[in-house]
Amino acid sequence: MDGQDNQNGHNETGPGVDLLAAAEREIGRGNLRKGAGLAWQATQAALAACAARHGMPCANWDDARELVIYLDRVASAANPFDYDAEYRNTVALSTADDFREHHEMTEELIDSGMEWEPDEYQLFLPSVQMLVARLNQY
Amino acid sequence: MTADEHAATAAMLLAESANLARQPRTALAAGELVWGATIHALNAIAHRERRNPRHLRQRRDLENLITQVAPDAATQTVWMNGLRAAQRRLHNHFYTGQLADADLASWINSGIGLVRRLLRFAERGYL
Repeated sequence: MDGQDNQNGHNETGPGVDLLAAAEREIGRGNLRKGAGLAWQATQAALAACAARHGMPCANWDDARELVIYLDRVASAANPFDYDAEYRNTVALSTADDFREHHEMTEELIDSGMEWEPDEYQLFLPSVQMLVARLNQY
Repeated sequence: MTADEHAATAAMLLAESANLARQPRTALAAGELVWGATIHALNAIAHRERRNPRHLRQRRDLENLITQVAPDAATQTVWMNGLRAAQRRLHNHFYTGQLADADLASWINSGIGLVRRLLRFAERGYL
């Protein structure tokens, strides 16, 4: 499914892009937990490919965190007037992990006040789309 | 509180959090102060922009504010992510203590960066 237009109208390809398109479809159909899981899988695919390009490990959450912190450090140094650059990917990874949590519905999430209302899945999906797009560019 | 008072409170909380973050024993409290600073910085923006309700506490209200005032989609996304990360990683950690010291320090740094950004926007009305 790579190569299809995403919701931004861009023709993008790369690891995770097809999974994101599937996530968007499932969330649109109201299959929120399934869509959330696909969004997290898409992130994992993009993280793994990006880490491989940079010669970094990506076996677990700590590795993923190290990778995005590194990417933010590089982006911030390259764009000193882009004040969001120092944490852009770091906080985006946190949102991607929120999708994982909403797929798994972990104990940590239940009654935490962090549960999403149905429309929030669509509200937050562009964040993962942007993260995956950036990961595929680095 | 007025916009200036919210902004001053956010700045004060940031300064305190920077002190507390230096010691692992008190870093837990530092994270909570960063969360509080995030709320006050967003309230400063709400007052400046004359948005209602002006005293925002609920996550949805804060998200709605960001949606309304962020200058572009990319900024909206990063602020929304930052808000949620501050709540989940810092505010929740205050009660659960689930983060390792290094992880907490990293999230505190991200939170401080976001609050500084929000305060700059609250002060100037543009980025």
